[in-house]
Amino acid sequence: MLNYVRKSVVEYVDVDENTISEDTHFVRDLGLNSYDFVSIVGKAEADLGIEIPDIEISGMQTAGEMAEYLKKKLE
Amino acid sequence: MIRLARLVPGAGHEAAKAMSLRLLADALLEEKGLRLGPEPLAHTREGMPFLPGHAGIHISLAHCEGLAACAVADTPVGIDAERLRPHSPFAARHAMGNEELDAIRNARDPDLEFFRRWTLKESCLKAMGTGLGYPIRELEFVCVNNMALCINKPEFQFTVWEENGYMLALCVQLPQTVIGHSES
Repeated sequence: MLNYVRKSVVEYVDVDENTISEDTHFVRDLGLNSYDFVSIVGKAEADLGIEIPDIEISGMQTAGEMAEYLKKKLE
Repeated sequence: MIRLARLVPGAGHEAAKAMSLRLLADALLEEKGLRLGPEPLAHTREGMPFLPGHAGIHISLAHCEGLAACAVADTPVGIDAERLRPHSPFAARHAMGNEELDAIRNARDPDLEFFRRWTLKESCLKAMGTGLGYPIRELEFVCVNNMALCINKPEFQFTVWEENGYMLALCVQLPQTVIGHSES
């Protein structure tokens, strides 16, 4: 799932996906703004057939946190 | 109240962040006589910037590709900016209700319509202090020229405008009006 997050992120920021680790912070490290982030969230919803409530978005501040969230959502 | 600055093409997010802070420093000095220190900002749990020790001064920062912006006000304020370009259908799917999606689809310029609605929503989230943790689809707007009203947030005033290839939106909380009465 971390690979999926990496590939989604590089569609919005010019960075080598191999440099994105579990601890990579979307805002502090990658400079994503809210539009970028919601685009990634929306893509995950469409690709994985899930709904991500906005109240749960704040818990996904790093690539690892998003990967973990998506994995749990699919279980 | 608001300041904007264009960024050189290819400027990264660190440069954008630095420019936002510079705009803020200039605005605070000129409007409030306040000189910022080396680490002037703190952030709430929701990621919203604020000035520690200055509860009466409200700030908001925004940056996107090619532009940095800041807003300063005496009441909660939010500013957002986005470069006009083809919009993400994924962002639209997540952030817009069905009626809004129809309005975007049927607009003369769907990308412009999307970013008008997006920047209005984002400016509202920033002013409310919630960040993305608030159900963004619940924020619905009525726009007339450059003014907008959020149907379920009448305590906020909105301005939205297009400038040099960018869509910008500003949200300011209206001052509270307390009506007192005396008992006879």
